[in-house]
Amino acid sequence: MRDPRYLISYAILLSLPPIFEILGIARLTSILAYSYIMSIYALSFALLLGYLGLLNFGHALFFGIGAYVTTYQILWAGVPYPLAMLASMLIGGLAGAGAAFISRKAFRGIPFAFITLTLLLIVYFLYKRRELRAISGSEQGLLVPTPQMFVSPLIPIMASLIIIAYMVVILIESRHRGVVASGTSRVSGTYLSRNNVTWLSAAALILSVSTYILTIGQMSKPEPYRVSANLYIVALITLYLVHMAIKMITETPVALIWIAIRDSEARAETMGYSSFSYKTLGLVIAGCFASLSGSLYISYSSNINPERAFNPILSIYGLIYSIIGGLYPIEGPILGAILVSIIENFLADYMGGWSLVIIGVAFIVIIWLLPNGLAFYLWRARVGVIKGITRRIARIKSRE
Amino acid sequence: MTILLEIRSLAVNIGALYVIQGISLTIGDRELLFLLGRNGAGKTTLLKTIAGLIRPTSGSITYNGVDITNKPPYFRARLGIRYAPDNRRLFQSLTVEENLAVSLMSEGVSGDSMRDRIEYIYTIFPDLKRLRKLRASQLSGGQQQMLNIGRAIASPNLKVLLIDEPTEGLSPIYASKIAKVLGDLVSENKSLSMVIVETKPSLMRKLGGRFVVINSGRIALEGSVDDILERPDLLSLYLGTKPA
Amino acid sequence: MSLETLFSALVDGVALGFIFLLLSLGLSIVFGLMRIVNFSHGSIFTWGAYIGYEISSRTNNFFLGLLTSSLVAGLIGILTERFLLKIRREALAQVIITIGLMLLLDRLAWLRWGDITYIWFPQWLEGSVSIGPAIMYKYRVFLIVVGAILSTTIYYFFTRTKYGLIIRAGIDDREMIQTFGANIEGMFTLAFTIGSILAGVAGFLLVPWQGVYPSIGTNYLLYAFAIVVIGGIGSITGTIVASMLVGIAQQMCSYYVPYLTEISIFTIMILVLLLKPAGLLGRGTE
Repeated sequence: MRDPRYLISYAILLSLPPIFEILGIARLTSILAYSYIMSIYALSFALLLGYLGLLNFGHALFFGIGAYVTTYQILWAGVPYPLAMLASMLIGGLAGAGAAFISRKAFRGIPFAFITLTLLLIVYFLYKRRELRAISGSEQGLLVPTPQMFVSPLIPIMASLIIIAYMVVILIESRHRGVVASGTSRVSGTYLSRNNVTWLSAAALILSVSTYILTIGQMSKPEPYRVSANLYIVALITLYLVHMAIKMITETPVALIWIAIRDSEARAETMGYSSFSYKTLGLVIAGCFASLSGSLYISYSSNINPERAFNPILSIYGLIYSIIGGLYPIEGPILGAILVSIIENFLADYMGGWSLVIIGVAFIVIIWLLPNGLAFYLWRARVGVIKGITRRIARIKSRE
Repeated sequence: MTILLEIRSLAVNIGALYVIQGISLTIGDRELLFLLGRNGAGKTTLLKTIAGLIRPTSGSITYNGVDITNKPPYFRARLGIRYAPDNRRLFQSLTVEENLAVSLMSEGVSGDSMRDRIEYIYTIFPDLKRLRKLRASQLSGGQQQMLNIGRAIASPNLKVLLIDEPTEGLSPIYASKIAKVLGDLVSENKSLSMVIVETKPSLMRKLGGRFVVINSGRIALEGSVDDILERPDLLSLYLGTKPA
Repeated sequence: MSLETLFSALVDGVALGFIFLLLSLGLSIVFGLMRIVNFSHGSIFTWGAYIGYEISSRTNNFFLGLLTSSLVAGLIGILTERFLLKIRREALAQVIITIGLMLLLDRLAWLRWGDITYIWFPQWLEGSVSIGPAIMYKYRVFLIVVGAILSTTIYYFFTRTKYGLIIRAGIDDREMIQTFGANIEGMFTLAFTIGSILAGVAGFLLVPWQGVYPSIGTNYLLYAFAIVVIGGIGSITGTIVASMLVGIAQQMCSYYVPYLTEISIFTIMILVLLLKPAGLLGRGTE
């Protein structure tokens, strides 16, 4: 969390929409917004699978609950959108606890997957029935007025100012300590080296330029662009918060206990950890975040119906995002969600229905060749690349 | 006496546990070998490794010159090795007769020769004939053990029989039935070898042969059964029981 | 609630039950023996139906269609077991591979045939027939007869033949059956292939009744899951009984209380999962 590279990566992503607009691929803005929403969903799914070893085929249930509960609040109770989102997170967490309670006797592996799948199917088929059209919207779905998300143009400006300030301090610190800085920055906690500092400075430059374009551009762009850019920003910021939250969770002892339970439940129990409590905790957290993604989905598609909210295929998508991107590091599912969403939506224009075929093949190929997911190998490659560069620099220096 | 089974420097790790830490043994043609030792010493693991249910970490097992160290259980079965486990592991949803039949069908014995072998088992264990239509899950402990042994000795190509605690937990009637069957088997069969895990001296007394004591995954003592039967102090040390 | 409707619902239920049986048997055996949940099982059903439909509608020969659908289904089964499932043996990886295959096959079917439901009827099975006071569709009667024949054959296979017995024993104890000489790899392939062929046949048999569309197999797979859970994993008799129950229940519901159709079955499934995980007739294997 204290690593500014996360903040900067997100800031760069934040500045992309106007670039897309200029390049003529403005559709990518809303596609990426969708992928950020699904990234949150994927993170919650991967948390269960990666740390607790629980495959949740009913994960779409939490998503749908988030979507519908938010809709009900907005439509029938006039609750403002942000509040509705928080409330449905709570309901999602409760649903997670409910699912935990129901499956308490068979809380592992295939039985758990089947129980949650069945719960999802029951709700799915229930909601699809005409008799419940009033609360489900049946095929046409319930129309939700686009939630008013006014993203003040000041937000990105302030964000970039803070980041630039951050960067300046780090630069000063590195100067202060010598040309090739060594040691940890007091400000960011990162290990300072020439690589980092250059990288950070370049990033800061790109960021401030794009943010400028973004905020100026927003004033004069037509409605649809502004709406999807707003959604983009909101989704991205929410993803950042969720990402950081989950990352923080994975660095607490709770995560270690989860891993212990995943690897050997019996041993964890004899050490005094109630596997049921910890699994319930995991489900509650996952339920919260999955519901959040559901309620964000409302603003993406202002129309919600059972087919989109409770579709079992959505649970499979959670698995797809997690496996293609990888369960570890925690950025994996995000990478998976973004990649798959781009393939499905953006490239679908050029490939037609073949995109799902490609994803199916990719699924199998990944588990065969890169079983730990893309992020794992990319991260390792990156480290290798940097090591390679530093080694080459050192070799050059020693020759002088 | 030719050497049939040769085990060299066998080591088996299960997870982080070193269960067998270097065992070398030979079992000859027509030999009877008792594996003795306290619970957890590695006796069952050794037997399972010979049967092929566990892969050794290092070392080798040779049968009649053929290296079977990493061969699957069915390969070893084709060579004449049979295994009767200590927890019976009967095919629960199959009937008594089906249990016997399937043990023969698995190696390719069917039709009339299979029927003959099943009848042979029925003569050895008349109770099984009476119960033959019952499911294995419906049998009592003693009856299950009879079926367990019956299954293992049904094969006409039986060369090496690996038995884990044949009389454990059985009432005296069943225990002596099993002991008698094993004794008959030894005297009738000209080329059968047996490796028996046992904790009671009574079977050793009846069958004779060699023994090997396994302690913490290694061989602690070996010799002939007659010798150790005369040493009640050693018996209680290594078996933890008083001589019967 | 007339007697005719009731009778009709029952007949349909039994007919559907046989279709379910053919589909679920493969799932149950593969899971009991190999501990794999085969998510692509429904897709084999779909492809069996499509291929059978294509052949029989062009040649106007029902049995040719039946033959080709079993061949294609069997082929997919063998290829899946021999190659795909060997990639990685861990439980999660197997789930992923079969799901990937499902996505692939279903999407390929959609690309080739689109969303339209295709139905084809063999001429000699069209129309109704009266048996006693009742009037029934000829095809339903045909299904029941064929189903009964197939079920008896299957039952005979698993109780009297060498391979059937070995498979059943393997479901009970995969390790011990090897100690008697049974080649486990061969058993796996055999079981998987038989299951796939049955699924393909089931798919084709359903074409004259419900037709075929790209997701039909995966939809029915959900029912198959319910049947396997209710009847007990790996239990042949359990699968037979549960298939009949679910078939009849499904048809009864869709006749009288359509809104309860899927819900009732999945509610029963979850009750069984929670109260008697071994299934109503099976032995627990988790």
